[in-house]
Amino acid sequence: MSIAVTKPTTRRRAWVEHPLSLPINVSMVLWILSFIAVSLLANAPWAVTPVMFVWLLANSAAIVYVGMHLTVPLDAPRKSESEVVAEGTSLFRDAMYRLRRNQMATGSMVILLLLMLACFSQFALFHLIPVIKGKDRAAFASDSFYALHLDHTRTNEGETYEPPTAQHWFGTDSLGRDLFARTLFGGSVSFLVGIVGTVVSVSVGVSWGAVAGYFGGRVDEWMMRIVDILYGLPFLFLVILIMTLVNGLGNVASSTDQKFAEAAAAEKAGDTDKANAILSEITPDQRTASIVTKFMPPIVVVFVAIGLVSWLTMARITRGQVLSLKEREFVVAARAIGARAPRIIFRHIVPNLMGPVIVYSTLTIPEIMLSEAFLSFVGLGISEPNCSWGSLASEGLAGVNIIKPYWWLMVYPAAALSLSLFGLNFIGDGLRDALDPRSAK
Amino acid sequence: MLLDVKNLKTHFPTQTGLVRAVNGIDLQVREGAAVGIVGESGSGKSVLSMTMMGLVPSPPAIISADQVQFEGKDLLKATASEMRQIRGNRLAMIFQDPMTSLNPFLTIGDQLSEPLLIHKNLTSSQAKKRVIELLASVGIPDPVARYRSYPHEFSGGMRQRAMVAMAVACGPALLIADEPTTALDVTIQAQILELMQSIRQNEGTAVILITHDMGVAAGFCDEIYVMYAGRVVERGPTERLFAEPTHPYTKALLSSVPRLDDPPGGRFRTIPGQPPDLTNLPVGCAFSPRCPYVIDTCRKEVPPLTTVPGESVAREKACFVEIRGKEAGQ
Amino acid sequence: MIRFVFGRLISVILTIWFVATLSFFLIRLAPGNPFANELRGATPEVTEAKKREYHLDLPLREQYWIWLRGVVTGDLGPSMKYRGKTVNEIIRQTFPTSIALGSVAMVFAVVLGMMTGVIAALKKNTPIDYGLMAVAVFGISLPSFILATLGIVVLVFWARLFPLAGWETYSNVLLPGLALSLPFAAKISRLTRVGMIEILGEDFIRTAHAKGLSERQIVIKHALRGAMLPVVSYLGPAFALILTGSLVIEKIFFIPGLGTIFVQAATNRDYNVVLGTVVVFSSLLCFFNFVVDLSYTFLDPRVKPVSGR
Repeated sequence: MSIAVTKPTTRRRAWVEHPLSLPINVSMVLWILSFIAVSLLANAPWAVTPVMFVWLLANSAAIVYVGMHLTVPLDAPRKSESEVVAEGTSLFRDAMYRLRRNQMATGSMVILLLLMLACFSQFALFHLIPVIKGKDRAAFASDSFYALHLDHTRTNEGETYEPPTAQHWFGTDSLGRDLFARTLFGGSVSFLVGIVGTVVSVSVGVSWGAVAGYFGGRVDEWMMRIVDILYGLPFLFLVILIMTLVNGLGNVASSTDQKFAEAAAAEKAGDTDKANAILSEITPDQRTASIVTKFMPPIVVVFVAIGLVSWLTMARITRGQVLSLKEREFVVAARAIGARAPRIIFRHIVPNLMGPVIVYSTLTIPEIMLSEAFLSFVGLGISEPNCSWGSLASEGLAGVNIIKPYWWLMVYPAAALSLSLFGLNFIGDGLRDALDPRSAK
Repeated sequence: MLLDVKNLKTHFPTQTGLVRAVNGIDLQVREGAAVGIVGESGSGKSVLSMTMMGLVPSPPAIISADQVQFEGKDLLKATASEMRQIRGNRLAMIFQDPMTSLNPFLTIGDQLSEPLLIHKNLTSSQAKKRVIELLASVGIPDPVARYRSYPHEFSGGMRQRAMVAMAVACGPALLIADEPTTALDVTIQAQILELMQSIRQNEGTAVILITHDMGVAAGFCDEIYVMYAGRVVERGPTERLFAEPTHPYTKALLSSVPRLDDPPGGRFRTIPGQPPDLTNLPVGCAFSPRCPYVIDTCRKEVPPLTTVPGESVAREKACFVEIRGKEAGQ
Repeated sequence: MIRFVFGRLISVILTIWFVATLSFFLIRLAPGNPFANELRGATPEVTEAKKREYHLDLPLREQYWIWLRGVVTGDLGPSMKYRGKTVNEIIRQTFPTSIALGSVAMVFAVVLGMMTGVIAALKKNTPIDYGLMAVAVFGISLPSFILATLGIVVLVFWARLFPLAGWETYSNVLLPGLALSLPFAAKISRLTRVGMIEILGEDFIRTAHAKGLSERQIVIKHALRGAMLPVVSYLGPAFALILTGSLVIEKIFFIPGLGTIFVQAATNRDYNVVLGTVVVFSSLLCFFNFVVDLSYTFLDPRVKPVSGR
């Protein structure tokens, strides 16, 4: 009896099997972390060198990451039957081939990474350069690169409402601030809100759903009843109220801080009476507000508030997955051969959960960025002189009128926001199609 | 001849190549006959029946035939609307899984009266009366109440009865039953087969029974077609074919059926090797890689379907080797 | 059935109470008060008198009881910013506007979304399908305020097809309604397409073909109902999102709706107005979700109406 003998084919090494893929993935995470670190440690000189180092490393990793994705061969190697039997097919590797073949998703990935790179670079350099050079932000010459293209806070009364020029690439706003720098800065804020909010929402959602699904019965019923009820709430209204509270506290805190500074100045000048007088004016409430906002800056509240209200769908997806996985033949089979619970959970349930969770997380990022833009647009998100794409678009809308359209104020931030949201949605869809090929058909 | 199919081919172009699901089939069914089509899963039985029903979307599928004559009409040349008038009316079909073949959103009565409404132009009250009669005739208790039930309120056997009732609602000339009993318990299987037998006798409906279960085919059919890799490898009257198979594949298939008198603990008899890859059929006979009687010619030429010599009845086989009375490997 | 309705009613009341209470304490914890601007530089006596007028001098808990008693009896209290107006009056004036905007958006979203979704599913993997789905991704990604601004610039400034803004005639509702509905239409379109494709692959569709039904009959009678289920369960969250989305649209088009009032009141600390709007919006939402759930049990015979689900 003869069996068709397949010729051994030389196959290019798949990129996910690349020896560097793990370090590169790790540095992608570091890349994001380093920006969170920069934002928290921006004014601490000792942190500059390590943060700068991590940042450079992570940036190069990001570029290599894109490059490697682009080198995945477009045609998955044709696998003969014997090869399949010999090595098995890695679901993830197949998924990556399919993702690479999806031109929209690949294009989006490249554009999005470049956009993030630009935004985060401005964010990092804006904080780092003054520390490295040992100069105050205001001390940079007005025609220096830093002042022109990186400092989003520098106002210039002589250059308000400048249309895009060679100096101000994206024009300037009502206070003469450079819109290019502001768009990039707004981007970092939007991306950070999106990423951190997603992390919050995914952690809460997955744990909630997994617990409900795994324990089932009464527990499941009650936990899902709560989700059902929360689904019916007008959440953004609550978020608006939270933001009102936080912004109010922020205002009180900043005026209190100002008083503290005045008192300190008076103390220094030797006028102890005046200092005491100022201090005695500060009420306990104002003190509390000042302390609370130190620990919870408004931007963090935006992250958390939005993340906390968008975990519901994630919880439902996870629960459904866990419920069905629990009853699937391979889990029952694993149980039948005596596998212990941790092995079942980590070898059988978690890997099968990853797909939907990754896909849905990718789709949650744009959703949260959209909510943030929405809040900022209504005037309750990020506060001046900081900005996000939503608040910039809101300012831009004020510039749209028939008589003198300051179109650039709207166009650049709106375009950047739309571009990222498209990109994230395309990547999410691409991932879903890649991980679950049936869903596309 | 009620149905006369000559050289029917259904091919599906895919990324990995052309899948030759049905690869040149001849099939004849007389009025009132019971014809069985047997073969392993993947041998093209279901695609054959779907192609005859006109349910294979083309494109993408490539369908060709010298003729598919049904009641004097060539089905392949019929327009879409002509085909719709034949389907469910003169030519009906029962599917494998009664759990999924009924629409869960509509009542049984609603679904059963549909063919009557579109083919027989009955009013809805006439249709309802007829459906209740039909439900009673297929042995569903309390048909008046059941008319308003949803499929999920039926048991598996009852659903398949409802499917049978739906298929015969318009009194078709030919009923194609695609594995109608595979998803059912053995006792229910027998009931459904009996039901189909009685319909055949009472209404004179011809039946094509597609199955992989040799026992079911033996009990129900007058004539058997054995399919392998999209071709008919043997055909003949049931009794002769089972008594003395003339094709190695039929022989292997018959001997792989477990018997009640097998000694316990013994090994199951299987056919060695894998069913062929339909995109990449071997040159010559498709069964040759698995065949114990293989000779050199088998690997070079496709054996044509020829009359079996020395038989009193009409029998055909597609094999170069005379295997009657021979043991494997001789 | 009665148990189902009753169970839902209790959960609805609990939900509204929960939201209202949470909002009450959130807005009260926020620094500032409704009279901060009005009474700047006023004597403490005047301020005290003003506070007493609105019971603001009482402990928070008592204020909460007074307010809650009012809500139960249908009295949402006086506005603290608009002289001599009660919250009930304000809501009565602005609520129809918001409802008109919301329902126009909802209808647009469902009609547009289901139509394009069915077409895309029937023309699966053709340029029509790809085109529609690409547009849908754009619809989902584009924030409604950008869409609205684009709409204004193109349709109002250039083509002069629509009146600029405001709320005099009902033709004014079309452009804002459309801008508000597009993201939801896109989402519904995708849901319909996926649902439709899934249903069209079911065995019972093959049965329907075998019966000799035409494509049209199959789509309308056999497939649409099943394909609608995911859309119907999305309608609840969609309605909530449309309500909140209207905040932005109202701001852009200068529509005097409930959303605008809410944001203003939150910034001005017009406590009663904020809480009144929250109560109205939550009730509306709960009612809508209730209707959706009810319709779900009618659409899918396999779902039995049990309490809560």
